[in-house]
Amino acid sequence: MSEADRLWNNLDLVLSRWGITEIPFTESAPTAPRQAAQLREVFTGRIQELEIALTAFRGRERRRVLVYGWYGIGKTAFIIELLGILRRKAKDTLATYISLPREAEDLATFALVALAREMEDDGWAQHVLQQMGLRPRRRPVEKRTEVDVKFVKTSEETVPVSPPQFPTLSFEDLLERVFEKYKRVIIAIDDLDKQSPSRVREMLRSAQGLLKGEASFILTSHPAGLTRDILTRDLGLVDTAIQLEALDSDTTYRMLVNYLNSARPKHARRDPDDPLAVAPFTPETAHALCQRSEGVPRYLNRLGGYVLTWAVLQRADRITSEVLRQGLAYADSQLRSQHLTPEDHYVLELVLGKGSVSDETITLDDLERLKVREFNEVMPILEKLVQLDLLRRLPTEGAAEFGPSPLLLNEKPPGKTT
Amino acid sequence: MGTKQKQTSDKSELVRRVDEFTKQATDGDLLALARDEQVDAEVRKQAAVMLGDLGRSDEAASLLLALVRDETVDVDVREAAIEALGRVGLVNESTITALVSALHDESAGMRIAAAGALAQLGQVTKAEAARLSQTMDEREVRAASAYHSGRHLVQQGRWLDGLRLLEESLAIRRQGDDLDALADVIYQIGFTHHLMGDAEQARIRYRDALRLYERTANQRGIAACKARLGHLAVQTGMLDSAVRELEQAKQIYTELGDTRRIGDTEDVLSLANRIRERQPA
Repeated sequence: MSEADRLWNNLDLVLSRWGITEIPFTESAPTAPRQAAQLREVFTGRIQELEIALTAFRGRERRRVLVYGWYGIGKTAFIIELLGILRRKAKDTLATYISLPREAEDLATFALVALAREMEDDGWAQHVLQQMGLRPRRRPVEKRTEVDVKFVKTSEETVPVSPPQFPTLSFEDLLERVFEKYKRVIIAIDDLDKQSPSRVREMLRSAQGLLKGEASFILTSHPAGLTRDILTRDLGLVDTAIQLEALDSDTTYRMLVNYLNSARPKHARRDPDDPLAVAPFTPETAHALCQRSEGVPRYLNRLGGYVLTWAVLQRADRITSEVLRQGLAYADSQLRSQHLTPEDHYVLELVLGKGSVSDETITLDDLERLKVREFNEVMPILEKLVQLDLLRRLPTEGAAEFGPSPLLLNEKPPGKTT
Repeated sequence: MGTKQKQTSDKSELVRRVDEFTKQATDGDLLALARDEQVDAEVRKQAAVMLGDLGRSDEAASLLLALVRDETVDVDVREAAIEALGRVGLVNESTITALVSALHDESAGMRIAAAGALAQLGQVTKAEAARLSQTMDEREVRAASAYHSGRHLVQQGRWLDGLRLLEESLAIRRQGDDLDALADVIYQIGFTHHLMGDAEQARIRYRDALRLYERTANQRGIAACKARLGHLAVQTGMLDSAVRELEQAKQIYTELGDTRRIGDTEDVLSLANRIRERQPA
């Protein structure tokens, strides 16, 4: 047996001693259809919010629902869970999801793609996908039959790639075909807020007809900035707005139980009062981890992943308070050692040094130390540091304020641990 | 030399006779004269100016623009046509585009006239006009023309086109040391985002401009930023912050003796106070 094989077996041994088969935490919600069961296992809470959304979709009226909340709060998981329920329970409903790519220029094209992907048996829908250079669920071909005096010749050609010339009209055509089979169509368009606000405004303006048409839509957004304002107020596009806030401590704890049990195919222990439900954590360290995550699913996932990885490397029997403390320090060092440019480091140090930074409180001297003269020039770096979980956007009214992420330790971190 | 003096004398005589003619001419006569390409450019310009004086600004501006754009016309006539455009006072896209384009002209006289006309049309301040007309720095001219054209497009509601030009101007300004000019363009970008309904972007830009104006102690700039921040705060329901900003803006405008802006600021301030009074304690 090679050294690597031995290592693998040792890791297996540690995990099996904990009663789990893998480290179950993921940074982002699973969105692929094949991962739906995985999400169902771990999705926790949001009962009231789900009730509002499901009630909205029980009516005959088509709906436009906005789901909004801060980065990592679980917007994607929420809408995937919602669509999953609708798919299982409302057989007369076609529910589809698409994450809007950064290069998107119009909503109609992506609504069209979302719809076409769901219509696997519809030749025209698959033809549309093929035309756009996207993988059709079934490969469409153009068949041509020529009848000659002596024989009949059939040839097949791959359809050339070209984007739809009139995406809104193509969408409406496809929608008509869907309504031949379904009573209701719900299209979830995620990550609208990852576009630049001016582009979102243009996209929404030009998609007003689409959004106010026959299909229902679910859109996601941050609480700050343009997107929510124009969705709810300016353009009047939304009839139901659902805010996702941090989970309470009990729900966070249950989410941790669910995550750990998703990696425990045998002997699942789902009762939160059972101390073994959170193994290899103890109830105390599990609670401490949840508290540190502040009810933000993304933070729970990232910290949980780092702490478990650290415990595996230490071959720990249980995650005691000391192992947790070391695991959190390991998380801190791992997060800080992500690829950062010198500019990123300067900005991070500025925020950590001052406790928080905003467009209101930053001084020109601070900016000049960063070799810029505008806060606007620092914003992309701040947003990048939020994406890397080094900073977080604070819910400050009237300012874009950023503070350290709770994943970082307050004190100066120890040296690299690996 | 002698020939030139003769030409000038002939022209003066012609202008005198045209003056005589225009005193009795009808609008139709003037229009026909200004449009007649066989007629001397100076006379056509004169007729166009008269039309402007008679309140027919659209025709006057259009005829003057034709002269400005016609490179076969004597540069003195084109300069005079530019100055006349400023006096006619009609602000539209083609006029501003032509004037901004004239800021690039190789003739200093054309550039000076264009800067003056832009100032007369309220597109630049007199100080900026003086600076624009004297500058020979290509980058400065590019930054200024992108700024003014961008501003003009924004005024016309072509926000994204205007924003593109303003960002172009900003990219140049960032490389220079003129903090007031940098703040001006940032302020305009903020205002454009404000018009577009992007409160956060607008606020960030106003605050960026404010910091720069504070560094140069530009009171007018500080007041403008505070007034806009106050306006924005009213729109986003942050009334305490709105009142604070607006009071400060009003104070500065009072010190500057700018009665028009004091009035504008008071209007928003009284709106903020009225909304605040209606809110439950």
